[in-house]
Amino acid sequence: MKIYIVLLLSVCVASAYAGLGGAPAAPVPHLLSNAASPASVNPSAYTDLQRTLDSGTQVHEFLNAGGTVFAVSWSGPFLPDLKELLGSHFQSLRDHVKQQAGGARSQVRLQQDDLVIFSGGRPGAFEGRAWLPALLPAGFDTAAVK
Amino acid sequence: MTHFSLLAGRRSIWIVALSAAVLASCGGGSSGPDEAAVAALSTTTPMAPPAPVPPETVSVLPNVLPVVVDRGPAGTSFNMPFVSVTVCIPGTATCRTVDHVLVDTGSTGLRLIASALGSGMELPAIATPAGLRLAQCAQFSSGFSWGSVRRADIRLAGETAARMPVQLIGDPSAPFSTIPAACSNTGADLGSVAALGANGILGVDMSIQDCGATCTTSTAPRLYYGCTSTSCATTVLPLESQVTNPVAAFAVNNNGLALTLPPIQQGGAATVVGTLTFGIGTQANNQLDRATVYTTNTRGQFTTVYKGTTYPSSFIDSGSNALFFDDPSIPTCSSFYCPPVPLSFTALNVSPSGATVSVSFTIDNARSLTAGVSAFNLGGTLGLTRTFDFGLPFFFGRTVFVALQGAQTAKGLGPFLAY
Repeated sequence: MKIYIVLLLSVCVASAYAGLGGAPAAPVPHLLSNAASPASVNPSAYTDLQRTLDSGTQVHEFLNAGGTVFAVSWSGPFLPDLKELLGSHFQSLRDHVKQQAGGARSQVRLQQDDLVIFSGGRPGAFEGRAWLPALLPAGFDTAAVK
Repeated sequence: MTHFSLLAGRRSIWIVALSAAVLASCGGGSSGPDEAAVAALSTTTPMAPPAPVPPETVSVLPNVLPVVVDRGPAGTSFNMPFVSVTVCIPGTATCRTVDHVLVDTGSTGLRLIASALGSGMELPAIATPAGLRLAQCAQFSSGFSWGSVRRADIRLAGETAARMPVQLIGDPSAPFSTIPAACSNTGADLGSVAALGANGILGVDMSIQDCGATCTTSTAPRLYYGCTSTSCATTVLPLESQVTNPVAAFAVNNNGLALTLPPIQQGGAATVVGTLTFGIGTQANNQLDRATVYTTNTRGQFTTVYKGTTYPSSFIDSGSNALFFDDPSIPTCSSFYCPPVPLSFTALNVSPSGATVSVSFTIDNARSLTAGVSAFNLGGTLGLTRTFDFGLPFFFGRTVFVALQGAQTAKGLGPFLAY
């Protein structure tokens, strides 16, 4: 019961920063049953919250043991709400595209030390992935973000 | 940018003014290979616009539209194929021609930046099923374009597509001037000449409508909106009101198209001229001849195998300005490939029908892409797990046919690619 409370606190704190770097946009109940106590947690453990939007697009949110989203991905016919998914990093995406004006419409390749966003595909078949390098669990391979 | 009216009679006059056939070099001696040249690829640093050149008048065949690859309307574009598109108020001879519209085999339908079309062209609005005025949030990988959808007659070379739904991006009239949050939350705003690097997009992929059946029953895609006098909300929309590939609506030569560009030498070219030809096997000038047919899925995708990795969502896209794929063995600079000398590669393209082709391509040193160059064998990293994006350099030295969804050709039903 104590563990349960600790995790709830963790989720509540993260909620102040929803999306990448904060709490997941998806409902979190199975996160509570899935995660272990922070004291005994494996630092390489993570949870892949997958859901299919009404538009048919699939979204993944990767949560570390503390319930914080450290990576997201999307694939499918229509774009998801990227402001919700990327959270406070959505503006970085917009700023990056603006800087690349003039023919950079077909893809996003933002690679900073603290933020990575790739987006491509074409109308009807989009694919994108993003992560926060500083929050990746130990030994996590970003190839799993797809 | 210049706009000029093309007032054609019942029999169109197949003469167009093709500007920028020759692009004067920008500045004096080339700055040579350096990081600044590469950085220019990804910044908004103003570059000297192309020097004006006298318009050159050329005759074209009724199903052939001249294509030019140059620095574009903002002077910042590269590897973008442009055409001039004429739109008319439906059923009238009130027309206007917009130059530097991107030919995009990776999207569907005509979209024009409102400021490039100019004022005084009152294209009629389209009503949603609820009787509201139609608007759209078109989605691209890097963002969206927002604006009204209106009807226009579209003239491309000697072909006409009547009463086509066309997106007017950045329509300044209320209520379209306010972008709904559901739209702006999908990414960056691409609704300007500067952001697009073009005055519009002519989407000529294999799809007929840009959404299709999904949008006739669902608002979940958040593509189409109905607007009252004060606000816009998502709507369902019948196929006949969706933004449509104009080629499908031509009276003839309506089963597909072909984009042809010449080969590019090492170091690139200041300007390249090619053709967009309508119809497949319908005229002497659009025969498949030696081209081999490769089927795709309904979104134009096939499987590419490159150096042992399989990319199941690959596509050929004239609207992508480089070959985007991942190969850690090629040196990079600013996420573009910078091999000291041009390198040749091959990839295996496998279509759903099983037809397989080995395609070769060249990657030149991105450091050589200076301000005076607009056509270049450019490659870049992509960072995706499913996609190999064969952008415009794939078209250099090739003719690529695009057969529309459900269209009949001598080599079977579309959709397919042939090259």
